[in-house]
Amino acid sequence: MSVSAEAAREAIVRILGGIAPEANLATLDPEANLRRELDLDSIDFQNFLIALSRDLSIDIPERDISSLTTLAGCVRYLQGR
Amino acid sequence: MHTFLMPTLGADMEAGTLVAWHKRPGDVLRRGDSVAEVDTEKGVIDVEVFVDGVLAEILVPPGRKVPVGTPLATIHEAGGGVAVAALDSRAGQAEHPAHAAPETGEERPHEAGVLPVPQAPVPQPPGPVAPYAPGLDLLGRLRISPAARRRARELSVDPRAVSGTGPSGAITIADVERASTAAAPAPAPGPPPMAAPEPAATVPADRLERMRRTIAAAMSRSKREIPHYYLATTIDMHRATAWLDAANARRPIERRLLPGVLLLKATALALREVPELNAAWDQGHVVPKDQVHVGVAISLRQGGLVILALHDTATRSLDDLMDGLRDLTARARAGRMKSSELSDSTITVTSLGDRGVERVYGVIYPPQVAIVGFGKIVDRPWAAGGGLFVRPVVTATLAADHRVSDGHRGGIFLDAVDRLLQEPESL
Repeated sequence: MSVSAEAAREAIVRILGGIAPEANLATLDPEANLRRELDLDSIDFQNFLIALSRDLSIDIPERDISSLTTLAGCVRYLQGR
Repeated sequence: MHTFLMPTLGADMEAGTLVAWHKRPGDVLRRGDSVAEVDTEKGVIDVEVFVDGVLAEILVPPGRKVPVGTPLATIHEAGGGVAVAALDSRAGQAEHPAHAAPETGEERPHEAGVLPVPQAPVPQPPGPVAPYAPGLDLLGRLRISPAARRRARELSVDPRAVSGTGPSGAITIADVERASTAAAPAPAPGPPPMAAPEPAATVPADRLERMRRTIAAAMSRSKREIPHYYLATTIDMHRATAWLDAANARRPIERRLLPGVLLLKATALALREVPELNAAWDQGHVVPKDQVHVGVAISLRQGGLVILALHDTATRSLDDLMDGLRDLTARARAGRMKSSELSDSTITVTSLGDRGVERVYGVIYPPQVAIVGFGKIVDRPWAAGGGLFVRPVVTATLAADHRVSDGHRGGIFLDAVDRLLQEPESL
């Protein structure tokens, strides 16, 4: 199953909106470090990955986490799955 | 008959607003059931009951703000047990006799319209609810200095029952002391000098301001009363991180363990070797705690923090603790916490996370007697066995109460944390 860029972006923004409701995700720089931009701690970030994995029915192995540090990186990674 | 009281949800709480009842009179209650929601500056808290029984009567309707220790409901206990039970000892209020003068006509206006008022009909209380705990009126409602308020607490005097002789009727320390020596019953309180009700609690900015104020109160008390001593040590984390990496490589994302959970478990186990750090300080005496409920300091996104108990930290598996930590963090940020989580912690761990700093010196959260801090894990040059290596290390700190322990014992504790982290498979 492949995920379209649009579907990937929609899922990412929806999940991040639940974790960081005060953030303005529309203006988020796609190449900026998500954790720094949105002040996500390690548990927030893990909750983000768990939700992504669950909502898009994909497995995210430990070694892939380094590809998921930015919004653009997340979209690219999900499209490639 | 068991009396269900407004619990004290942390050392800094003075009052709470009853938001909703989850149970009705006649409902069967089990220990641990959430029976009501209470709104505090930390968010909406699910208040649990600590007895088995049947809800008899609801004494405080939704929308009313009452001081800590106010009876909220009565419960017929299962098996006709002893009248005053568990919740009271947790809340620390059972020892105080209901000495306060009956309150007359000082009922707070319902803060309906701004609070999520539930639809279920709730019986009105049979009469005005008597305030219960001494000196725990709402911050700022009385003209009373912090020192006089403190003195009132020490003397178990209800400041509302004291007539002030200071400027603008302010209550002075002398007034409190005079009221303390006056024969019981205390005079009926007059109307509060400041009659305007407090603004409702639902505006986040207001909540944040109140949270800052309560944190300030608890931390000022800590710095004023607790003779802290501080220790720090650097711990080699290469075994722990290698073990974690190997464990996580085999796990799906939702079972992934974070280093923080190893640090929490190691802290809890090390307390078995230095149990005096797992205690409360209560009016001049140390009260040892049998169970280890590590309080986790969780920062909130809009500012402020809460300390929530990760129950039975020493005896749960790492997986179970990880699930618990994720759940606690998510609910803390969403403002959905349980009363036991706010009131049960026996020691605190503060960790500023992997994007934070290398070292944190904690301020003890009263009535606890110690706080353990962990910085971020960083690669540093490390000499071992005659060789020089690059190793991941973490700085662990301890701030502890000199009334209860000394640096020697604190050092043994941090050494035990270190030793435990060298055998991560045993955690």
